[in-house]
Amino acid sequence: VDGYDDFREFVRARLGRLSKAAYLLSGNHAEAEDLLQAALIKVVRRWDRVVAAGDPEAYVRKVLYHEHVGMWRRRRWMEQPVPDVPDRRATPDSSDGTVRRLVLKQALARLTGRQRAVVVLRYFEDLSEVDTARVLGCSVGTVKSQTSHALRRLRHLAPELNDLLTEETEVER
Amino acid sequence: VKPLTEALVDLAEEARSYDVAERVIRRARRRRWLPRPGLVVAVAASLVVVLGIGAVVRVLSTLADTGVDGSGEPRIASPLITELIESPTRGSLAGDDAYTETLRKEIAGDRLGGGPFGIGGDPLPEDPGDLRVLFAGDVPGGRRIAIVATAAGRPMTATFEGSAGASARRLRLAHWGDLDAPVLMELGPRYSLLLGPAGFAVEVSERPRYRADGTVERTWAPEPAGVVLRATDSIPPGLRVRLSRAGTVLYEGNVPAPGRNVSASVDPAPLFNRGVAVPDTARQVAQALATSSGLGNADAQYVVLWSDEYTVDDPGGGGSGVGGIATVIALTPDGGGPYLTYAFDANKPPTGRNHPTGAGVLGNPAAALIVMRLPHWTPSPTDDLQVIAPPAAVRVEVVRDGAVVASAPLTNGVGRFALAAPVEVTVRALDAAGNPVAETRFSDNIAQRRSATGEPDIQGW
Repeated sequence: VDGYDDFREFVRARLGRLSKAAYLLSGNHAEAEDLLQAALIKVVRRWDRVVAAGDPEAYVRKVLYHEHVGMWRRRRWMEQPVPDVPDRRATPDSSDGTVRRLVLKQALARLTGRQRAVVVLRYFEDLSEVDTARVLGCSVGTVKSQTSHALRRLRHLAPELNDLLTEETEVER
Repeated sequence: VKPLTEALVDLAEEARSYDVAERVIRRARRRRWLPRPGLVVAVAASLVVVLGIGAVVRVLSTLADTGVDGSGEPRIASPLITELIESPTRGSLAGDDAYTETLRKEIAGDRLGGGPFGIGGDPLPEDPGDLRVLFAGDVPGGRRIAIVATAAGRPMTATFEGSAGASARRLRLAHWGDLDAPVLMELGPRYSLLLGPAGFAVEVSERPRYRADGTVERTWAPEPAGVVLRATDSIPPGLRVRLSRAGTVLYEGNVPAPGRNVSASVDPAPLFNRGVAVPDTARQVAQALATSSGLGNADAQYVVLWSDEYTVDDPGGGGSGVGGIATVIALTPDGGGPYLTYAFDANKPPTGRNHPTGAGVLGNPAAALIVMRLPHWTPSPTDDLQVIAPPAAVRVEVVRDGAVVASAPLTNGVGRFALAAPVEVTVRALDAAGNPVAETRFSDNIAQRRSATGEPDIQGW
């Protein structure tokens, strides 16, 4: 017993879900692992207070998404021109799941950190606009506009995914 | 089932199980100190010009580094890094063994945990004998600093800081990082410090001459102290340092001067009517160039080589619209000078972006040819390449492997063509008779980082 058993148990129970969210936010395994580690380092330092506040899951989610947005901003400044540009199929077959996954992954990679966070929170975590705003610490209006920007951007970047993005009209109604 | 949700769930199946709990707990156990915010700096760096506040900072290439290699094993110091670690203490306290001994005993075994970017940190060795004080002494701005390196385990440095004259026990951790280069640069609020392994000749050069043929001429002088330590407000334009041994250059690069206050005014009308005047943009680019190069109006005439309105596609949404772009040169009396390009978005106030290919050193502006990839707000580079050519040129040809792959007309010497990155091409500017008036190579591969004066940074390790 080292005083971290509760934390260890908490992470173990949610590792699958946390790993998936980190991967969707980061787009590759190395960055997903970095992101999850960075977020949990922040959580473990105040674990007793997090538990005492009553909703550790919500707190972890908040830290993870904030860390993601922060990492995206920092890395953007460090970016150098890439040596090569990822290939994209001219006419992918949208019925092919592998291709659709690849196209979605590449399109997500071209969103801003916050747009990507909004998409994952709204459509993967299935949170409401109000809950998404609570996680990101912004207004519901910002969530709406970021969602709208993100879906419009996805549609522009990957027109072949249009069948996935019909929800924008539902969101804006 | 929502289609996008279904697709995201499907994509998330690619995730592995990132079981970081034990690593996180280990780091939590080690942590004893919180760092005070400091400017973490190293030599393997890219230049960022922060407009508005006019400061120049360099950022570590390893800011987000976990300090382990791809296999998860700790890094081992290279021979040159070991030379740095085993170098004698430099600085005004260099001979004060009692001071450095007290400091090493004081900090041995302490934990460096949770860096300013959330990742990083390890314990310092328990044995004070495994710590080396690379620098200790008072620095401009009324501060005292000590830079400590680990001589056992993972190579790291930690900088401790206090007020001038502070005892070893009163120094506090300012920042730390992996030691992954044999040359260290420490940028404080009022000082710039650069040191490498002992035994290398240290030379400095300032106020370079920018010739009309595009070359840079420098005179080098020895720096007897073996380290370069300067107050930022007195760093001369173009101060550059070179470390070499037996004729081999270990490092050559400019000494940044964060917070240097140099201003420059510019006539916003573009030279040879190349483009249209965008006065606010031209002023901001000139100011950024003055800050980074240290050249004021007394040293150089600021000239707009090209400027235009610039349509920005900002995926964040806020900056989209029509902004401005300008390439400005600080033209020195010797006929050449450094130049810089910045684009600004439609935000109020606007935010600026550069591209590494939009800066360098130029000779006679009437004869020079610039080709650059345009700054972009999107994650991927734009396909557009901008040409700024002599005014007699009416067309450019883009040649790759002996074949013309693109061409574009020029108006008053400026034009644009599209080639997706990455490319390596030769660009020829032709006059109305089809004769070449200028030629240059363009590459997206920025193999060598460039200093604020447009000269390449050399890292010989």
